[in-house]
Amino acid sequence: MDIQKHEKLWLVAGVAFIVLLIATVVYGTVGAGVSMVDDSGGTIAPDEIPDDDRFGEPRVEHVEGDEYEVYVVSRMFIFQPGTVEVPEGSTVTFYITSADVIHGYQLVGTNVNTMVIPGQIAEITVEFDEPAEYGVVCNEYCGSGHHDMEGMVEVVPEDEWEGA
Amino acid sequence: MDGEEESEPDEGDDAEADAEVADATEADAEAADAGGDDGLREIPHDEFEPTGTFAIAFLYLGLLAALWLFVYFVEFLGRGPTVVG
Ligand SMILES: [Cu+2]
Repeated sequence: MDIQKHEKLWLVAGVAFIVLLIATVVYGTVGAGVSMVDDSGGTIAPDEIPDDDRFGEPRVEHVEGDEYEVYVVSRMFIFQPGTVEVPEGSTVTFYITSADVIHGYQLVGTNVNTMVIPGQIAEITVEFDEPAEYGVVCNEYCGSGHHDMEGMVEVVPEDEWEGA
Repeated sequence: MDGEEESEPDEGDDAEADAEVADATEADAEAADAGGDDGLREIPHDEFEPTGTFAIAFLYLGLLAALWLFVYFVEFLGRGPTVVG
């Protein structure tokens, strides 16, 4: 097949562009360690939340060393706990579920963001290296009070942390 | 096509025929300049040089690549913390 020389160049450039796109995403996953939110958190029926070990009492829990777990219940129109406090240098796994409709949980200005689906537990692990304050918003329209649905994640210096 | 005569210029053996062909070619060129309906020009496959189109297409592709790199490395990976598990 005879391909015009410019067309040949353009084909090469097009394929190179596709390779560039795939390579950057592969780098993000393998090199930078960015993960996607998946279904690894499992499921929980909304009416079982009050009796559940984790979500019956939404809280921050110190597992060991730098590891922390946070259990969050979202409902119209609050997050429980509203303010999550963790120390700097921690690796925090959020388990988030909904008691009613679909909500969102996003640390504003970051990539930490997941849908919160009733019946489903969203599990996301985040490393907080430095003290900071992150606003949390619900980014899935969930009803008349959606715009007021907010929370806070406070990353505090290690000696100021007074949690579980 | 009106380049018929051009494509087979050796058809006529005598000089007169060649002259006719030359005349026809000149006439064609004039027609092309005038932008007439008969001003069609045949360009061999490998002599087609769409330099401007090519430059714009590559400029656009280059822009796409640069913006993708900016979005991915600066706006996405640069906005820590991020989900790691
Ligand atoms: Cu909501």
